[in-house]
Amino acid sequence: MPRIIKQRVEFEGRVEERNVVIEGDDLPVWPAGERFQVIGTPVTRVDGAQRAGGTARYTADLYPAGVLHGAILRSPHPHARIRALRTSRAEQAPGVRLVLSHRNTDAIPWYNGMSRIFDTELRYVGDEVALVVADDAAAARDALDLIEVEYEPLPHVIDPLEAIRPGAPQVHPQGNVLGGAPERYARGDVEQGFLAADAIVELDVTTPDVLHHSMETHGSVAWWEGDTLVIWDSTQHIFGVRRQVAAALRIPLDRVRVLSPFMGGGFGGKNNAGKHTVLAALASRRLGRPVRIVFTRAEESQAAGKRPRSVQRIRVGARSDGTLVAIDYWGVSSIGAYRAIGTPLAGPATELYACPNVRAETLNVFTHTGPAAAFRAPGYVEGTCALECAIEALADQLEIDPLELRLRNYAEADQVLGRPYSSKFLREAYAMGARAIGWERRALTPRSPVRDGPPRRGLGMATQLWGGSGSAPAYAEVRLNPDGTAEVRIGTQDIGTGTKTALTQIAAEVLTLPVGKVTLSLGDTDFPYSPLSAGSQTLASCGPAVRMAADEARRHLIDAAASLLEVAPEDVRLEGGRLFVAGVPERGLAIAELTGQIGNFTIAGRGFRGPNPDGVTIRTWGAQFAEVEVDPETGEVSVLRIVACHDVGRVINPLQYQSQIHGGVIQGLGMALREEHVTDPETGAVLDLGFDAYAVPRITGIPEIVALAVDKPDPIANNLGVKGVGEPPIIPTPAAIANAVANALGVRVTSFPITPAKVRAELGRRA
Amino acid sequence: MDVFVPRTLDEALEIKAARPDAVPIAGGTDLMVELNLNRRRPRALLDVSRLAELRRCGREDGAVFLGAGVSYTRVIAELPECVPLAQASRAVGSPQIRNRGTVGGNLGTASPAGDALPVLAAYDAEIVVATRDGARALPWAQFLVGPKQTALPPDGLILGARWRIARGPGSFSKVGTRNAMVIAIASLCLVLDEEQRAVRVALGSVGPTVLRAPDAEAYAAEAMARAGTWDDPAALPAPREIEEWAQRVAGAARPIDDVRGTAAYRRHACAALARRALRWALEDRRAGGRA
Amino acid sequence: MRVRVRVNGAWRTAEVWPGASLLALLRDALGLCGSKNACEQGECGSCSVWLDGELVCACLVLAAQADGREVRTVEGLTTGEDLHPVQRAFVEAGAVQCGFCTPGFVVAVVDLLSRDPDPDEPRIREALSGNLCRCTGYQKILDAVRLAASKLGGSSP
Repeated sequence: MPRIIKQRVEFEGRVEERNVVIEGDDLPVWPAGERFQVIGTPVTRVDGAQRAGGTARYTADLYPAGVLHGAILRSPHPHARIRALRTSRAEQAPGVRLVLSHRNTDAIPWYNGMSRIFDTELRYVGDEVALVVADDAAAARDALDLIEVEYEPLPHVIDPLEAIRPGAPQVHPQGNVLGGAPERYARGDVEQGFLAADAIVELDVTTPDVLHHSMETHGSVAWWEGDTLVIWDSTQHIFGVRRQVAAALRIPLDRVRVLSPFMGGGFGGKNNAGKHTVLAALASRRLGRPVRIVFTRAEESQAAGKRPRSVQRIRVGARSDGTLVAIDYWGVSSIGAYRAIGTPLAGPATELYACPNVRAETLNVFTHTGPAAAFRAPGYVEGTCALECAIEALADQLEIDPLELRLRNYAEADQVLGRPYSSKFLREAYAMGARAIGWERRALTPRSPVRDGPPRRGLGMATQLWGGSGSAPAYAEVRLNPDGTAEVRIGTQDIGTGTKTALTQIAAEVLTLPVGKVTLSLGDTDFPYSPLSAGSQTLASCGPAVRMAADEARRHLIDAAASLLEVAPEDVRLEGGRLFVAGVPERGLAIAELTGQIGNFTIAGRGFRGPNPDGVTIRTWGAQFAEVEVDPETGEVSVLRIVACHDVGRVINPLQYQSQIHGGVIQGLGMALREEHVTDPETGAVLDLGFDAYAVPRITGIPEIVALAVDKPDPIANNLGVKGVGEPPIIPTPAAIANAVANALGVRVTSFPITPAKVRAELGRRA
Repeated sequence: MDVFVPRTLDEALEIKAARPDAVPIAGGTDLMVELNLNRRRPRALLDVSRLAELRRCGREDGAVFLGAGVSYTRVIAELPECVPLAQASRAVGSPQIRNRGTVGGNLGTASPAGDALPVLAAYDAEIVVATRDGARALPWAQFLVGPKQTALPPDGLILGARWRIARGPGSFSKVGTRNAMVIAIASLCLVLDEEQRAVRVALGSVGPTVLRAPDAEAYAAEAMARAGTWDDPAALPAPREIEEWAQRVAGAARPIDDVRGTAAYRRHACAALARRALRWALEDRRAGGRA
Repeated sequence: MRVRVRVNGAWRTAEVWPGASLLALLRDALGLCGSKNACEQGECGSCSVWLDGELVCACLVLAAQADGREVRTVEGLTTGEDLHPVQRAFVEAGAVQCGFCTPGFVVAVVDLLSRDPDPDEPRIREALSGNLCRCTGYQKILDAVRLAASKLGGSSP
């Protein structure tokens, strides 16, 4: 019997209440020590040949017959009102088919009602002004220059600290602080706590605006088949895009089909439908032809979301034995013009360590800059920079080994929600990581700054705390073909993480089929519902549903075999693709023999994701260790080695686990040392419009990365015992590198990225 | 937009005379970006990639001539004896860019961050330009007149660069990760000229255009003379003289403070590069490599 | 304007905008989408192809400059269903994540191994310095190159 249950679900650092429909009982968790054939093995990408062969069709590769190309005119001002807009010259330009603007488009609400699809008030350099659709991309882009717009420039504010001063230009009428007030958290008495402290460290930490820069830019291709809208979208959530586009166009959900079978990366930047998605649909409806809007790299830099810069102050106090007595945290997240959700900067400071007295205040501040978006562990990467640098500074001050200090303050339970963790194998991660890097080699941090001489080495570490539990709802279908092959359908998307491969492994495991006999299809809203591929939740949400669907098909297989073999179902075994009578292996038949004898597709299974267990907090954990070499003379930092060890539950595919760790670490390294998205405070213009000016890490400067896994199943989180690994690996990397730099030089740079200029400036400051 | 694809230099110069608005394109590493991103719409393009005259490269009458259309990949392969130039060519982009990018392109765009330009400046190179009326050579400083400005006449094409071969060690080095303009902090080319007993140094990315540091050059040459280094590679200038040289080189830099506020650091980086470059050169000489 | 190019052995003709790049010609006009458009600045290498045997970014070649010339793309590496050994190595080493950069990497690696069948690690890094990947952290790409080198080395007499 389906039933509705209320469930408290963690997603990207926030806890929300959710109603979910549960169709029945979940399967028991595969316990630790369960023996597998396919799970836990390094299966290579099931779609690797298409991706490496260049035949995979991404949204950006779609050029349906008769396709027209869209280009978007964007605001050159950080804040302005459109006084007048004339499109006639553009409309008459060669090849141009349509120009859309606020003058001929419905005022569709956008950004949670903060704006419209074409607003007459523009709030960042890059805000959408008009769309040109033409026969080819060059004609569309050329015609943008022919649109005549009279702008009334308005006062703007780029810096978040200026934006919260009285009298600052307002981004929205309700003020520049999201929700009208800071988000606050407190437990115990922080002031009393500091009175008991023998050592206190206070740090000011800033992190930069950072761009996702997925290799595939944002893009949508839309066309109409009768009254049904078909959209190919480079998205992390096909069902979300469907709902947003249906609402925008005021058409029923069943008239919108969204596809994203191959997707060229998202990292949180593609969690929602973009304006371009709706515009492609609107333009296609007017023109009766497919319309393609794919961002240029410059648009990707300007208008596709960013990890917002943070300004943080943290104070931590401890007794001489290292016991934490107080943490006081204050953070500002500069969320740009339109982000509707706050950044959970305070998550690590409030939860990671056992500490009786904690106070946190976070302000999410609107500015006249491009809208912030979720980006791989939003808030937690920034917040970990503050907390874990402070902890290591505290350890240096107390002359306690930084790892030992952390172990002395190990949190056994969730102090924020006041409940136990479902599992926590952080001690194991610390121990494995410390052993692999050779932590005992860490020299004491120099007492006075090292300003010259030969390059110096340093070791540093940081801890990772994050969610990644996944949750209901998610559904999957499995069917067996007469030839013994199986098909799985699930409406999730593989944004590059390897979801398709991992889910295929789960189905193959249950059905005891080789991976090659299982074809999994995803990326289509015609398939069963699945959630947003974000918050490290895809595998932990979809995997259990796939297991259950495969398990139902398996039970049907066994029942069918039982009647053919004339035994009771409980006496039938399924192993290695063969059904046989227990204890009599020769009395049996292969799956294909069975399915060949019964009707087409008689054997099918459906599965759902069960609810998360009540009364516990589910977290992922990890530790990273960095070894760096710093040239004191130039201030250049080279990262020599990163050891990452994470506890993300059971590992389904060690190869893909490692890839996720490597990728997260390198993005963290980029943020630590080089990546910075720069907005000119005078003009509001973005100064990095591509890879020439924004330093995505290259293969030349990357360190060796050792990716280790604790690999213990969570005993209760879900029927697979898995948690997500997408976000955890980026979280501790910048802090670990910063701590290693401090260990090398005896000065601490807390303004990320740690550029050579900042290292030199810090060395100079202490002179 | 018109596209001209001449097969000979004469043909190209005729077109350029008739259509001075035609923008030359060789490797496309700068111009194609501007076209792709809609930043520039020239009325005409002139493809110079098929002109044999621009692809000459080698020694001519005691000098090196480097055609404007020679790729960095070819520079590395064909002019290995020009060590600083080969080092600068390796520092350019990636294999894909080195296969297409040319010194002519660097000269044409005159970006202060162009890696080859400090080398040409330190070589005291001449830039050879041609019009329908003939070819002439301009000292590099008269060619690179300002930020992204050259003395190329509207009807002219860059044929290449030419410099006298100087005996002596030299190097090109830079601070800042390559391929990310924002942090191309400073580059430096040092050349020691054994015959003239001269030191020549040029800086990139730290001024409106490529800069030489004549005061520092004279100081270093004199310090080496005082120490007897020119005759005896083992006799080295005093460490404080090397430091003074480094500070004088840094003093010649004219960095501006950008949004990241790195002017002071750029100056500091010039000193670090200068100090190291001179030490390397002196070590090279002492190691017997007086060539 | 009309451009005629020999692509993967076959002469192809297309009408393009005069300022169009070779990449636009390949993708928009000829439907060869294995070469990806990820920056149009020559910075990411996702559109790596060979022009007269030389590794280039197709986005930085004016289509007209390729007129009458020979272009080889990632599609030219696959024979029927069979992947090139370098492509197989990428899959086997786990060097493919979202895969958008992979065809460009594959082309650059094939180019490298054709000139240096047994490259050391600095050489590999140098040869791939023009290709960006945002997913893998490059570790498994290095593995893939080593694997491909050993496979190709092992298969030649």
